[in-house]
Amino acid sequence: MPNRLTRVLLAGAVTLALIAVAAPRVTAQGATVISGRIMSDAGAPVVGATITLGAAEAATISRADGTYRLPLPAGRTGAAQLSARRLGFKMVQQPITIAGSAMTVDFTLVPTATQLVGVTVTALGILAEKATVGTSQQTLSSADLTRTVTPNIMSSMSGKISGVQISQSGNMGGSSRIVIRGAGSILGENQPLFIIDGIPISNANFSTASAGGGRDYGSAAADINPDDIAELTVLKGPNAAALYGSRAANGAVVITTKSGRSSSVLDGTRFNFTTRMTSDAPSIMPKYQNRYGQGFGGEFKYVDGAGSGVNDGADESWGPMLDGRLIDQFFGKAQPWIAHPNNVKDYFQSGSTVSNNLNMVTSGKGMGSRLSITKEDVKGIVPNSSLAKLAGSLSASAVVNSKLTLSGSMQYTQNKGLNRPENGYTEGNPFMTFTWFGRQVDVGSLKNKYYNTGSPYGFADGSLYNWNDNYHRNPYWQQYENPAPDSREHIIGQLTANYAFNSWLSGILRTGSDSYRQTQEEHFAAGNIDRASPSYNGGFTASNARAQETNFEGILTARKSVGKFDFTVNGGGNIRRNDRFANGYSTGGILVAGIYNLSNAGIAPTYTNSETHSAVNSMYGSAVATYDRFWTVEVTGRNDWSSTLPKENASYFYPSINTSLVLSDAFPFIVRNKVLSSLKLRGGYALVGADAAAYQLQTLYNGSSNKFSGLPLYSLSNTSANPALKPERTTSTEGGVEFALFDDRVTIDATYFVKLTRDQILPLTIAPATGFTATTINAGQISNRGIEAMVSARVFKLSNGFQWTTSVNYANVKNKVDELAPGLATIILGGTWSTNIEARAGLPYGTIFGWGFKRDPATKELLLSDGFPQRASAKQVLGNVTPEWVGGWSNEFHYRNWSLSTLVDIQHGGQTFSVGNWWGSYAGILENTLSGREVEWNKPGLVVKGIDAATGKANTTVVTTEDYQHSIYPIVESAILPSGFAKLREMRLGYEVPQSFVKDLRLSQVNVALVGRNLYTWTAFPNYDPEYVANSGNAGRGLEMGALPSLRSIGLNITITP
Amino acid sequence: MKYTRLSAGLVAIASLATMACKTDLTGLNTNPNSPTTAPATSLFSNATAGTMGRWNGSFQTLSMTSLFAQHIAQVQYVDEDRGHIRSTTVDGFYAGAYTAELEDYAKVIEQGKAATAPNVWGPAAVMQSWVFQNLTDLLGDIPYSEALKGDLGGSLKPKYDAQKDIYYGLLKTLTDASTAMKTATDAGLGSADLIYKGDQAKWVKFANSLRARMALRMSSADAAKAASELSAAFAAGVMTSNADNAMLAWPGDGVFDNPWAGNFATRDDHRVSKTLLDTMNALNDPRVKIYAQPTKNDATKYAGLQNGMDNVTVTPFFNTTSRPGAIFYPGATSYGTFGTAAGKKTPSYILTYAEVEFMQAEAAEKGLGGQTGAATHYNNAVTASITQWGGTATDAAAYLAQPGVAYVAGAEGLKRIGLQKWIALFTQGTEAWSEWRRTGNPASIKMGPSAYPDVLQVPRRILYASNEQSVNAASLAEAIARQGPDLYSTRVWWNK
Repeated sequence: MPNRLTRVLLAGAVTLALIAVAAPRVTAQGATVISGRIMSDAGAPVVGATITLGAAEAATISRADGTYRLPLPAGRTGAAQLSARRLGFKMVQQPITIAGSAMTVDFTLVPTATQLVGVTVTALGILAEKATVGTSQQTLSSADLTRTVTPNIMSSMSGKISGVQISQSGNMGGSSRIVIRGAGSILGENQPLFIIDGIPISNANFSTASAGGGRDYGSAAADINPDDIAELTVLKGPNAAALYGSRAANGAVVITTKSGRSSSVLDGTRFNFTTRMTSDAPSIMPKYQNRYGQGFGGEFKYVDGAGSGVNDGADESWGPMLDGRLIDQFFGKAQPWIAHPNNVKDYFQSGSTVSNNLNMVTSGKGMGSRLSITKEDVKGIVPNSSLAKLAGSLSASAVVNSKLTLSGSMQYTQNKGLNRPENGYTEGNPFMTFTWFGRQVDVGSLKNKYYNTGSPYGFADGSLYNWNDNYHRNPYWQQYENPAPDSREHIIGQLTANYAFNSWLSGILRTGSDSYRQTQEEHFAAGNIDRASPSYNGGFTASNARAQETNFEGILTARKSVGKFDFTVNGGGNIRRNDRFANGYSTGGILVAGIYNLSNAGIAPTYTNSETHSAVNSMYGSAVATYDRFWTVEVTGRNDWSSTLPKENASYFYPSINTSLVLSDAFPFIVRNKVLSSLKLRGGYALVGADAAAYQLQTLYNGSSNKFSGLPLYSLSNTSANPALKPERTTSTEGGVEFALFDDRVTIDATYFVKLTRDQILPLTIAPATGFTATTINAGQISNRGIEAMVSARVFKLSNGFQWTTSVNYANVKNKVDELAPGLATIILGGTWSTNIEARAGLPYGTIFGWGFKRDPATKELLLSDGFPQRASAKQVLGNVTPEWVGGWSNEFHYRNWSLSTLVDIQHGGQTFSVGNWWGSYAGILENTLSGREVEWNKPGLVVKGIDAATGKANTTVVTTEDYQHSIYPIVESAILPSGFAKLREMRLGYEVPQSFVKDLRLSQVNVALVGRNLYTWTAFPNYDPEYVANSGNAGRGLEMGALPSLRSIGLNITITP
Repeated sequence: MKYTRLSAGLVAIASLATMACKTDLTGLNTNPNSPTTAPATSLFSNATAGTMGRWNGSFQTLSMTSLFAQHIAQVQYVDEDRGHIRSTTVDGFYAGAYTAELEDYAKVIEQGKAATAPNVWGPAAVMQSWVFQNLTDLLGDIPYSEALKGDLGGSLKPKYDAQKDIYYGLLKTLTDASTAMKTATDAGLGSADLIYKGDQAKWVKFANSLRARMALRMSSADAAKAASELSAAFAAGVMTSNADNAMLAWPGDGVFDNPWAGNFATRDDHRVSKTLLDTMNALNDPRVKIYAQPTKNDATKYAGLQNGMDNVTVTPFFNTTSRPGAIFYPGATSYGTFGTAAGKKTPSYILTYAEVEFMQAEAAEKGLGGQTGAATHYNNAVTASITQWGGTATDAAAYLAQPGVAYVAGAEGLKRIGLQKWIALFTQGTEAWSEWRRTGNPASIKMGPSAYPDVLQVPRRILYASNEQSVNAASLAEAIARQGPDLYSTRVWWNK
């Protein structure tokens, strides 16, 4: 008991002493004060080291510049031990003699287990020592992100973080979908929250792409310029993000931008210039057949390309053999009928990306600033497509006085796109156009000729010129005469005031805003096949959106150490407001060609406009206690008040708890054997609530700007509202271990987690006979159980400087839809051609449900009729889009000035409904359709393996490949294909120009690197890119629609520091 | 100083906290874009335009029922003509019908009944009955009694009712609507009524005529009920001239166009069926030049296309067979100029006076419904159809004078009524096909030469919406167990 009493008293004394130190006017006079500086062996100041006199007579903590000041109780003299210790460093003890006068004692600390050393960003932007963090998170540095030229920051994260699945579209500036630890929400947002410099930003998806068409304009988070990022931390579970609120239920990506930090001395101005250029080409091209041209049944003759000739309206390749025979073709009569094996490849051009970044950092006494400007120009692989991006950022901080620090940052991004390729089943999607194609067509002959002149077939001069007039337009005309310009301006800004009331209490006030304005236009020339009325001279669509999110936040932080306990307590509140305005108009008929203006509309335009507002107010707090620097417990709590829930359910609270235990510090003997160099255990539990989208509580009537002979029109919404919605609940439990072996040569970080999302707010697809397609309910539970692991190893580090490090990350998430609403077996997420992506109870999220083959129940063989496969009597589960595991393997080699890094990105398992393969086989253009017509279009034919339904015996009926492929039409089973892949995602060969040479150029540093992206893909998925996503929505995966492949980029990076 | 700053900071944070605690944000959640109530008139106008676009639209007729009725044949993309209807087509019209017009008509009925305004709810009840009749005639058993209650706490998985019960229910609805409208005094829908511009007498006739159509359709399945309903319907007053026709005249403004003209603007997949044109040519039918255009290769020739050929065999017929008539074309198309812009305004028909006269002729011939004078009704019917399509009474008289057309009593008379009714129902694919299913007239309708092996006979119904397997599986299974397998060959109740 006395011992404990002493400790409490002592703690009180220390506290008072600390207050005393912090309060300038109450500084004790006369007593001995020890001061000094704690530096690492590398010469960096060590912040947060504990300096203790004796057992615990007096103690203090070193400041950011490594200095400390330890006043001793009055009258303390004589010999004593002064120790300095900090996690991750070996403790140093120094004998001193206290003589009653001020004295200086400096320490130099040597690191121990590097894995646990350093500070990291946790929720609310709070810096914490890695050792005390009880949840799973992973950080990427600026160098990790900008190693190669990537389309956006999400692409640059791909394969580098365990447990994160990133799917990318091959479209120029297209969207990426990022899911951490598996999809938890059935229909809601499954992507993490992005935080930049403490401010949540929009990751709005601008894609209009769906199975039926539309363009992918990317997503808002992609506007963040990788060059401006200092550090990116992925908080993987809701545990880590409990304090960020609902939207972080799927994790958070916390980005700190580079800033010019203030320093104690005038440091001057530094410039840095980086240029990157790559040449881009499709990484995967479909394998087309080159033996048969356009037509049906081995016959073709052109008359008008619309059906007047022999099969000349056909846009399939079941025609005559390409043997040079003379056939009337679109470009002339009696022309040799020959293959143009590269006719699709030749349509695509070589793309390029050129990106230049110039940045300037100024730092000086009490201030720092950074200005960065990036100009990026992308030339797409589709003719006449381009994307120009201008990004500027400015950040500055100033130490006003010893208490007050002000800082602010702003990022401005401007995107100007032209002709982002269309997606889905539409004429504007190049690969879908070429799915319905004549293999004999020479696209080169279409390149510079859009209109007929002196047609041998009697077409009027000036009429559209193409290989087919029935269903297609000249693909070059499509791109050059039907331009689709778009623009987006995105501004993110924040201002922060930090005020240190005293040594233990500080406050932050922060306000931030994220706003964007997006415009999209599509112009359709006269003759556009599905977008302009043939009676008019073209048409157009336009849409505009602007949105803003503002946050206002205040947090108080108290940090105190009492004896061996360190406490940090945070409390604060946040006000968030979201406003969005959108409008659009379109007409399918303009009068004067080329004037895409409403005043030129011949058909009454359709208008839409809408505004959406929502707000969330929050109060939150956390308390962290660390015992003796090795055991930390953190509890958090947050209460949200949301505008989107009914009043009685609008307030909801969610808590979390996590703990971290550094066993190797608690029990140093376990690291004595030299095998283990550090060991940390962690675990946590969190509950996160989530609100609904705006305006879900009332069933609404929708008006239309179209009038029927002047009469107004209204209809009831197809979604039946639910006025009694409750917040969603996600609970997450995780346990993890971090350890290092062999003097830190091998480090391992592994986590097991269970994430359950309950009471989901679902726009449930219901039987249309209810009068509604959907109703909003709270129901269901999805579970994600899995492990994620990261293993890094310094394989060797030779004395000659040769060094090899390798790291593997792996995540295996078992996703399951545990239950839906009572009596409900499935929820449709999306679909096309009667094939759905569904959430089915008892199965993983993303079940593919559609028409399969009719099979013999006993043998599972196909049941055939007249030699043809038949459709099963009911739809069935055909696959699942969710991969079984994802992983990445990276390697880095260094030798003198050279470095080589590689990254392989792997997704294993999962299937995709490949519409490209499905129609490509139907239309006879893919190489696989040669089977059965090796000799002639109808020879030798196919004997489909299966049982004849009439006789019950093995099928012997020979059918032509054309009839076979056409007979498959309603059945999609053959097009449900495994979508696993491994990609050589990144490769970089870098060279640092020797200083001797650099100095001659009056520069301080020059780096040159050869970089490559998507260099090779290993996959069983035929013809198209399995990684494709239609958009970043939940059903954006699993339906491939003649996808543009991801780009294979090869280029050069040069960084010059004057 | 220190404590002043501390207090100021605490006050700032506390006031922020107070603001954050403001719990009543709900006012922000009122949708500023869409109301929670809408005028019955605008709901009715929209539902009517939608209904006509769907049930007389290109997916419904050109890709399905007009092919079954062999009014139309496909010359390109021939899957449907060979028997395979895309499940997306069925999914689309099934979901669309319930969630758009049926639900909106239900809301008009709700508002009309609340206001005791039969001239508001009556027309909506009649139109809703017509949509239900279309749905059940296509599919057989469908959700009916539990349907359209998704926002009223009703079943989210409505059961499928037996077709007989649906017919009984619709007959009652039509009777009630007719009775109520007959004596109603409310102002009604006025100009928002796209069919009759608020003419309640015409709605009464339409309601009774639709009741007669349904009664006749069930006459072999349920003779007694059919006979009593038929008598009552005729007695209540049916259409008496083409001015009573239930139809929608399209504005033709590029937004609301005749759906066939809309399809033909960019697609050249259809020709008039050989089955129809062979019949009409043999009878020197004056409507040939209206229903069809001359072939491209021979401007003097009106030739139909054989239904149900495959890609290869159909292609030589591209320019030697007739496109549908110029009145269905919008003028400029993406493959040439056909017709004039007036084609966009060609009306779509729901139920015509000609059909009513054919019903009366049949009833008279069979001694049903208190009808007599089959020949007169037959002549009236044919004359009404010819004039409806732009012919003259003289054309009709000359046509009717021909021995192959002139009415003869008995079984041959019923055959001629059936044949002429089938010709008259051009563009009303679902009715023409249903009448063929009921009467077997004309017997010349046979599945084409390249029919898919699972559809070797002309369909007797179409397959259920495939999404029902995901959203209403148990109810669907119950319907299939009751009605028979979900096949094209399974017959619906009135066709058994």
